[in-house]
Amino acid sequence: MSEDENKPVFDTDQQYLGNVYGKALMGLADKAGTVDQMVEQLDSFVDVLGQIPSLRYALESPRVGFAEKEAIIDKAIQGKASPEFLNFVKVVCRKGRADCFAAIRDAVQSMHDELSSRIRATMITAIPVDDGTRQNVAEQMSKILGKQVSMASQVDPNIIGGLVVQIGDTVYDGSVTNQLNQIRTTAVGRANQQIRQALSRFASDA
Amino acid sequence: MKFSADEIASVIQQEIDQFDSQVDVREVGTVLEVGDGIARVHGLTGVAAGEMVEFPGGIIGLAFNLEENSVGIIILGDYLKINEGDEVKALGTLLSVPVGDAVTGRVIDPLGNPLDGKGPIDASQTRPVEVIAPGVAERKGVHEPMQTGLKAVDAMTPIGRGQRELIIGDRKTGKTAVAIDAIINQKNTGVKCFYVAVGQKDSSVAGVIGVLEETGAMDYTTVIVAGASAPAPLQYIAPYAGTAMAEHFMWDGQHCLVVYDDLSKQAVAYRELSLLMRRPPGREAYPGDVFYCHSRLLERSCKLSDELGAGSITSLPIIETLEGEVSAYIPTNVISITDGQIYVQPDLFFRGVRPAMNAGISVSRVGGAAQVKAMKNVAGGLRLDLAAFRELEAFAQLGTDLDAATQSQLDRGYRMVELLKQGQYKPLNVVDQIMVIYAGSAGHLDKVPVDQVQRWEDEFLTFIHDKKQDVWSQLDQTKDEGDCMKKDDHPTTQAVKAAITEFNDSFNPSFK
Repeated sequence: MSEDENKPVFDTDQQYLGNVYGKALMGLADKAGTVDQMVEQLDSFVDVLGQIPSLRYALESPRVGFAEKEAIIDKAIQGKASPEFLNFVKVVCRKGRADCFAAIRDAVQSMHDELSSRIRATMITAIPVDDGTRQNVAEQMSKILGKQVSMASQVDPNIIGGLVVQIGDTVYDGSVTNQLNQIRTTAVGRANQQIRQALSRFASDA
Repeated sequence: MKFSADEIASVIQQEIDQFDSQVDVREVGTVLEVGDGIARVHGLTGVAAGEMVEFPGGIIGLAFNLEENSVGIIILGDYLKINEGDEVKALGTLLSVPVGDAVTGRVIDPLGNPLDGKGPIDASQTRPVEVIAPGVAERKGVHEPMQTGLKAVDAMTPIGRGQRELIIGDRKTGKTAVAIDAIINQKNTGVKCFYVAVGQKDSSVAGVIGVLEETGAMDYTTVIVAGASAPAPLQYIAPYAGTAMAEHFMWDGQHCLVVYDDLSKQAVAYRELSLLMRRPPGREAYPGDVFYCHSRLLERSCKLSDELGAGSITSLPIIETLEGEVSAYIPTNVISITDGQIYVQPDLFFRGVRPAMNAGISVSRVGGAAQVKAMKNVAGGLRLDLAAFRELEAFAQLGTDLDAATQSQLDRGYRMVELLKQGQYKPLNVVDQIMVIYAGSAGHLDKVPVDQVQRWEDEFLTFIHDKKQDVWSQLDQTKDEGDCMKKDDHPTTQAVKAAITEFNDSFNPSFK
């Protein structure tokens, strides 16, 4: 998964629609007993949309008729995907919600994670880390949280060093930048306080 | 002054030595959009309504709207420095302001940051800005007077400690002047004063601060400023912040006077925020809970029971009306919340009746119980007499012949109106007020020409203070006795009457 796709959907309307369609898809998959498969198909379909923008534009465009869209979809994924998923994609396009696929994927993934008591987390480091380290951090987090953690990684040189782990809206910040900020706040605060308490120690009338 | 860098470096070094690094756990969100003092934030799923959040650069916000997929934040600072995509951190605390003696005598913004250039506020304590008002069991009735030093107010609409008395009127009618006089009059009474300026011109606020400093009132006053140029969120929270600072003293058993100048501008700021947050508009486009906005604020002014230290907060909210329209939405709301109102009217103001209080429609619903007994005895019927005089005056203008009784009632009325006039920033001691009003209502001024009444008052008070200090002290000591100034055979009444007669003999009405 690339960095871009891990960012949450910021369009709250799309997020809402994504939840609705996602719930429908999960219900369908649950009935057919193919939840994992369905999630995988959706994931790869959205990846494909990201890689081939012209396909996404064609599906999203109001100027392309539904019959044409259906033909494109059939050509693109018939035989590669399950008939349920094929129908789902067609329904989404027919309703003019082709722009919501990413949001649907996010919603489905979070529902799927919840079902399988799994948590998605992102670790941010100053330099790229190898998979072993990432696994190690994921295992440590799993132990603390009591849930399986699937860890994605990002690189942000601004944190200087250390490690930042983000799970949902909660950030565990062990970065050097944060520690430097903490030192600055406390040191400046203490120096201020002491100067105010005993000015004569720090300054002389010269 | 020369600073020694080595000493400062040693403090910082010590701090670094002792630094214990901790993993910072925080809940975050991302700014979706920002503008006009509000931001919409994605994330912050665990944030509570009214919780503080922090934007990059230390700008503080307040969670205002919790929606299904986003959180509406009001920004208490410069929103132009916040960008889309910025990280927002939940602080897990409610908005608090510094309280205690450190804020007394200071000019601060609603967050407690100093605006007067007198250095940082060195407060050891803080209090949350929004708290629930004390309940019925924690209160007692209002029974001590809160003297404003204005004859018209103290005689006709007395205010007690713990009361909420609304000052309402059009623009430029002297509403703020009434409140400032009340603050000045709290000198040497131990009452802590708070002047909350909401949406005022900074020049007006500077003028008020100047007067307070000149009269020495700044020693016990805190001025909380959210001026016209301050963002709406700051104007909205300013009255709550001022009340929180006063509450600290109230729970400490002390007395406070809070002036909210003015609540109509706070309501406008709240309307602005609510509309930006897409809350549905109601009457005059105010949100549905604008009544609650004011009622929960003014309920916090109260008199605490003896078990809780018997502290109090008296509040003087000010409402500006348009063209005397008191039946607009906000004025009716605040009138119904408060324990009485002082109406100031432009026509009276321009006729020279200052303070321009309309005695007929101004009331104090609880202050009577708190009024000084002697004052109650001399001014008991004054309000109704004056109201009757106003009607009679209108009738007399028709030029009809009047019988002697009516004419004397009119003459008495003209003199009382003249007597209740008072210069700005010249609050009078209650003992002085009682003597002067007694002289007027007992008919001792009937021989004094109307245009000489104010000179009579000035000279009489000088006379009393210079030559009859004993009578003044006697009245001061007995003013809380039920019969004082009521029955003619009460020794104080006799002494005051004798003093007035003595002065009247020496008063030359024709002297200019």
